[in-house]
Order: sequence, then structure tokens, then C-alpha cells
Amino acid sequence: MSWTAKPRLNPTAPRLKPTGTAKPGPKAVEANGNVRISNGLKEFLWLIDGSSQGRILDLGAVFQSTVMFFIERGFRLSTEDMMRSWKEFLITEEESMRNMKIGDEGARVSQGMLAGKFLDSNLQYPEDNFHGVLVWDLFDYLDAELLPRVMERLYTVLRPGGAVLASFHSKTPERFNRYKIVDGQNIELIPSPTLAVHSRIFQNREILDIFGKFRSSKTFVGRDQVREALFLK
Amino acid sequence: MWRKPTDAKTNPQASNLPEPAATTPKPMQNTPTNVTAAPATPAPIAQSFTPTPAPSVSSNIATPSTPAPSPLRSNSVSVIGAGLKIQGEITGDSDLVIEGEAHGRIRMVNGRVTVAPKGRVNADIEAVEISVEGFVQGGLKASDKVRLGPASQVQGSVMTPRIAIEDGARLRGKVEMIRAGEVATPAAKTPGVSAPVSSTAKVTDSAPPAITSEADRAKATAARGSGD
Repeated sequence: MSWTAKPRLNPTAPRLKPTGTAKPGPKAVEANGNVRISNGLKEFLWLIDGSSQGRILDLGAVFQSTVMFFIERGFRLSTEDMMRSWKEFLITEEESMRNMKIGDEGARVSQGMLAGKFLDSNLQYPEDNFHGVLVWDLFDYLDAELLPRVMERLYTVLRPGGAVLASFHSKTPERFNRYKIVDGQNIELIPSPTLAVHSRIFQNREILDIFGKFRSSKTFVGRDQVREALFLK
Repeated sequence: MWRKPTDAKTNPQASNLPEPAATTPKPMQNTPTNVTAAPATPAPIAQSFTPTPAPSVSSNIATPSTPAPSPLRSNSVSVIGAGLKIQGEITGDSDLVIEGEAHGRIRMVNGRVTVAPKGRVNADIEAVEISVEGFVQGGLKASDKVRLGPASQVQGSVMTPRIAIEDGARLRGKVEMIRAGEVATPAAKTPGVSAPVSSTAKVTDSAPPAITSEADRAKATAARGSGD
């Protein structure tokens, strides 16, 4: 598929007009050092534009501005803080294993089994449900067993033509951040208590591999060494 | 002969004064024991839980430029105290504060439901205003506003015309905007026709049925028929 010839998800839907909400000007953006320009987000919005009443899945922490950003544009937003859910799941599993007796068969748990069990109660959505998924830097922190299963699930819940926006750190980040949409081209990194240890740094080839089932890709590299990747189903 | 009308002295501004804002904290009665319906006249009782005022992020909420009259009509507060566990359907017109546990379904069509920091709710909640500081597993449906506090955890869909989410809130579910005052959905059945919820206790205050007017009934029926 030619990236320049974007297929509109719903050609009959009226194109969304820019809303009257005032975007923070350059001064406002500069005032907060954690705000960065996101070309990936800009492209993501362009891709999902036209899918009025479209559904978006945000796998990061929930923020008022992110919710309102999509709601005001007519989208329906679902949020699921997957990294927090994964951490809490691991804590619960660890607790239950600690209470098991030595030699108990249930105590033998592989990472793959944990990943499968986690996805039995998370990321449960109908097939072809979402027009867009915001992953943020989640993949940098996921377990090697869990990552491919999450990718498989994301592919399932995304509609044909739907877009995924993910970001990858080119170097180990100094701190753990959550992501908040400020406006159509800016996101804010919110320093937060560390939920998970940064797992690995993906090379370009590896990023293409984990998105192997997706049709097309486009990446942007920021000055802060964060690569944003867009993939289409 | 023309005479000056005698009733011209009434202050027009006084009659135009809006009611207090919906987010204004109300005095709440907190009894340490069972669910109680407080008297209509608020009494100066010491409070152990006071809902926090509107969050700082509320500036992001689309609010009308002129203060709208509060849709809240109830003036009493019921409290499910800490340590109390209710299972079943809770309906009424008063405000409800949950500091304990509630399972089943909560429907306060003219009131505000507040889930206190240690409150745990496993139920769909339907009210004019819903404020969550604790844990809720179930859908939130508010005809005016939903507020998720910084320590709140919600697992379920949120349907409301206005939403305030403080940083730190946790939401796992869908957010959908509805028109102000729109509450009735397929799940929202009139008390008269609703199937009884299996329950070990049913708490209903002495308020009149939730849907009282023909218009309300027609609205609920239409919503059921539309399937959305």
C-alpha cells in the first residue's frame, strides 16, 4: 500500500473540521519542558480522520486531556493501563505462588503460561473493533513472552485499515514516563513512579519483525531519541 | 390615572439567581452503622468524609458559560458506612455515599453517588452525578457529570455528558459522551417492570419511584427500543 495514498476508513463520513478549542501556542508548549512534538501522533490522527464515531484504544494511563481530545472529535475512547495491569497481575501471581506448598504442581509456572493467563482477563475486546490503538512505549517494557501475544491480540481487535502508534526508546530512558496528549501535534511526558524496568532497546529490524502481520509502516525519530512507529492493519 | 405597580419592588436579580453549582460539596451525614436516610433538613453533624471540591482539571471540561441550574433535586444523604456490605438494588432520590461495599445495582436518578476512598462497589451506577474516590467495577452512567478522583479505580464503561479525570485515576473501560439529562438505556428499566435482582438485602428509601412522569417512561421505553 502506498503510504501517501491513504485509504479513508469511511469514505462517506464527513471529514472532521478542526474544533474551536484553542491549541496551546508555541509559548505554552515551550513553557513545559516535558512537552514534545509528536509527528507520529499527527500522522495517526490523519489516518483515523474520517472515521467519525470511531473507536480508539489507549493502552496508557488515563488522562483528562487525552480523553477529551478524542471525545471532542467524536471518537469513542477505551482505556486500559496495560503496564499497570501487568505489574499487578505479576504481584498477585507471585503472592499466590508464595503461598503454595513445595512440590505443588501449580508452582511450576513458565513465563508463557503467565502471559497466557494475563491475556485471559486483559485486552478482551471484539474483533475488528478499533480504528486506532495508542501503545506509547509499552513494548519497551513487556516481557518477551507477552509481547508477541499482545501483538497478536492487537492485530485481532484492530479493524482492517486501523492504525497503531507505538514509540520506542533508542536508549534507556532516564525515568519512567506516562504519555498525555496536549493537542493534535504535542504530547506531554509525565514523570511517574517506575512501574516496570525498561526491558530492551529495539532495533529498526526488530520493530518491523514484531509488527510483521501489519501492512505498512512509517517511523519518526525525535531529538529525544524516541522513535515513533505507525503501522496499519 | 396611572399608578405605580406595588410589586415592582421585587428584586429581579434575586429570582434569577441560579441554584448552587452541582459540584458544591454538601454536608453529609455519616453514621457509623447502617444505611440511613438523613432528614430533609441538614443537621450540623460531624463529617468523617467530605467530598473534595471540583478538581483542578475541571477547566478542561466543556462547561456552559452561564451557570446552569443544578439538576440535583434531592436534599438528603444516605450513607453506606464503612464495614457495611450491601447486596442488591439500591434506588431512590437522595444522595448516596458509599464508604463500605455495595454489590448489585445503584440507581439514584435525582441524586449524587459518591464512592468514598475506601468504598468498593461492584455494580452499575446510575445517577445525576457520580464521584469516585474508591473502587468501582461496573458501568457509570451520569446524566450530568462523572468525576474520577486521583486514587479512584474504575473498571467499566463511563457514559456522561461531562467528565473530570484527575491525574492518578485508573479507568479500564470505555468513555462515551451522552447528552445532558440522558440516562435511560436498555439497562435502565423502570422499577415497575424491572426483573428482581437476586439479593440478600434491598435498600430503598422512602422517596417516590425513580421514574415518575409519563415523559420519563416514554423516554426509557424509547431508549430500550433503540437498543443503544
